[in-house]
Amino acid sequence: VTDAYRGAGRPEAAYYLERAVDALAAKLEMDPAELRKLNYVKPEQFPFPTAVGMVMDSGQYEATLDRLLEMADIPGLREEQERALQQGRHLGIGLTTYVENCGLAPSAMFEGGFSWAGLGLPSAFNESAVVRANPDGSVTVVTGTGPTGQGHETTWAQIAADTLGVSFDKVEVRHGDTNDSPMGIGTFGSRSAAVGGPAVARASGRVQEKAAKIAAHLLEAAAEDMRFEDGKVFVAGSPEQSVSWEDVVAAAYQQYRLPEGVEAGLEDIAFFDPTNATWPYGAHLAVVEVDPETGNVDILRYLAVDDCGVVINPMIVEGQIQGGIVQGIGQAMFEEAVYDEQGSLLTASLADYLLPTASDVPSFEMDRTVTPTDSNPLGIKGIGEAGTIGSAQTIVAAVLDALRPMGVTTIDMPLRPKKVWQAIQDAKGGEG
Amino acid sequence: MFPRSFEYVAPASLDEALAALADQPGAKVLAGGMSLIPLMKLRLFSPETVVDIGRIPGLDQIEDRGDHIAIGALVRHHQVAESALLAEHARALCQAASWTGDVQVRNRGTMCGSMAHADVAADQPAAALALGATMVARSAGGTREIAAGDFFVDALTSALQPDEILVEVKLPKGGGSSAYDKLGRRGGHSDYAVAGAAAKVARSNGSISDAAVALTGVGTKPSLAAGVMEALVGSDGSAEAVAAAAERATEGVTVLEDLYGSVEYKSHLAKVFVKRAILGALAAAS
Repeated sequence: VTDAYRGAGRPEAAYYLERAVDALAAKLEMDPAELRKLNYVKPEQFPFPTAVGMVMDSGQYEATLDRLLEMADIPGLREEQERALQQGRHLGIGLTTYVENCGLAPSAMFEGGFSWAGLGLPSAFNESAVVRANPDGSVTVVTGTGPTGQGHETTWAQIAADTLGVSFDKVEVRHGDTNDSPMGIGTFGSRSAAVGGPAVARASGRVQEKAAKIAAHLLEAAAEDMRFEDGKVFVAGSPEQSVSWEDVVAAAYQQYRLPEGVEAGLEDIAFFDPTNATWPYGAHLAVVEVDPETGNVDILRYLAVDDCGVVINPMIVEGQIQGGIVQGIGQAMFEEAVYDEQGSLLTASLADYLLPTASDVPSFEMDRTVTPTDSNPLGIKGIGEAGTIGSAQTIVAAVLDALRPMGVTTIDMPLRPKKVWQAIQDAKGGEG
Repeated sequence: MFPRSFEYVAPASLDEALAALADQPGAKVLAGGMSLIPLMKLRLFSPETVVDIGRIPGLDQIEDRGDHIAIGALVRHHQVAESALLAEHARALCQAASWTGDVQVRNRGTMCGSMAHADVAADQPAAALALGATMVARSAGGTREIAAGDFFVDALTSALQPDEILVEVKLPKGGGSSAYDKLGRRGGHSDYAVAGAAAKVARSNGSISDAAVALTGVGTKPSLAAGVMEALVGSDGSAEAVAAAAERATEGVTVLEDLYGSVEYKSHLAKVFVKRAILGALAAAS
């Protein structure tokens, strides 16, 4: 890999850790899944203080791995591998698991170290959101997070719409304009949903609280009995006593319709600083075929079971995992910064610095377990980098499994065909 | 990057295009642009004038002309890949076209453009060589035919003159069955060939009566593997005979190391894909 990117630090850690665990499993002649299970932190041990001082939030590692094992049917795969080998085809099965650390918090941990400190501004890690009900009943969310394709426009709208009981398409999410946005740190380290998401929920909750007072006044009922659903505000237990969301919002902008002590307007701002970081995790499995004559690696199947706590939008979560896996496959198989003897970069364009495309990867078989975190009120962990963190070592483990009958015991990324072929030749030489 | 500035002409007829090329010695032909535009953007090549032949009618046909098939200058890779006529008579070319670039490239790039560009690792030149193609070049001064074996001169260099357009590629019908196979840079058939081979073979009375085998990706140009052809003709076409013939894959070829393989590895791959192409062609015949 050329430099730190998606996952920065965690793919490297997971890669070496998992390769070491696989080497140990081979040495002990133990099932790699069983060895991992033996060493897992058990669900009842959370919150789990680590040796380096951080306290891990939650996890049911064994349940997640078991789900993957159930989907994969390893005994069946091993039979298939054996049958294939009898026909001269070299299949390999690689299974690895990962735990990563994201949604970094609390801010105090970074005092003087990160973010705006270099600009002479206070160092901070909290996120923020403004939620505003507009006079026509539409809702504007202005976020301090800076999405670049992660789908915050969708997920933040979902959070606000759920809290206010309005339809999703009534919510507009704005971001990226520093004249307009509340203070935020940005989108990196799989932190936006776990840190920015609760800020949106909190600001939406405050708007809902005020809207409940206004609706209660209009309905001559108690504010704590107000319920928000399907664009209506109604009295709990008697839905016929209702007022439309639009009417509540309209009243909010007409001081004469408001109860005593309530000021016109319906908007709020919230900041959120989690009490702790989050630890998403998962278990991945790849089935590959190696062509010993050319060194070519074909990924036949890729299975992933990930746990990122509570999921806001399943499609976005799956998309993040899939994109991450493809990127990890790129690391495992193609990406390499090659220099000549004069120090010129030979892989300076995407024509030579190879990246996988849709046609280079199989359809992914995916599932999830849901283990909420108590680091934030939504129970969300983070998923932006998990695919990359879980995948490179899975591919390498599968290729090594395929190469084992040929005497190859170790190989390093990237697994370009020439390197796989060379490893096979070297192992043959070793025998001779 | 942006290309250097250039003049652009889009003639409405072949004669106008040929006149433009004759008038301006620094001009270059643009068809699909899948090779020319990247070269211009990298400033590896900066023509003074680009003559866009994309609007000239009648060049986008695959024609059955009885004893041969003619592929026009604007026939796209996907047309070649999906042509039933070519699948019957020039299967190796269909396979090569189907593994060229990606969907977008196959929808824009042209088969004749791939020939004229003469990339050392392109798929279709090897197929054209094995299939015994004839290149039809036209200039304002007239038309000439160039055998595929004389067409590929060196890396990115064909026998085309600056004032000529490759107006069509002619492929003989019959004469055996063919196949193409390669290892792509991104594995499988994905991307340019690290090494690839095309073969066309004919059998009669239980032995190989005719064979043409060509390599791509390993040397300075796509080339015929004369040693393999010599060993194959007259053999029984058994797996052993094919493997033995394939051992001669790189005879007379200067194999070059690149990012994707050492000389040793690419020489080995040349043998592997020569073998696979021949076996593929034989399998297609039966």
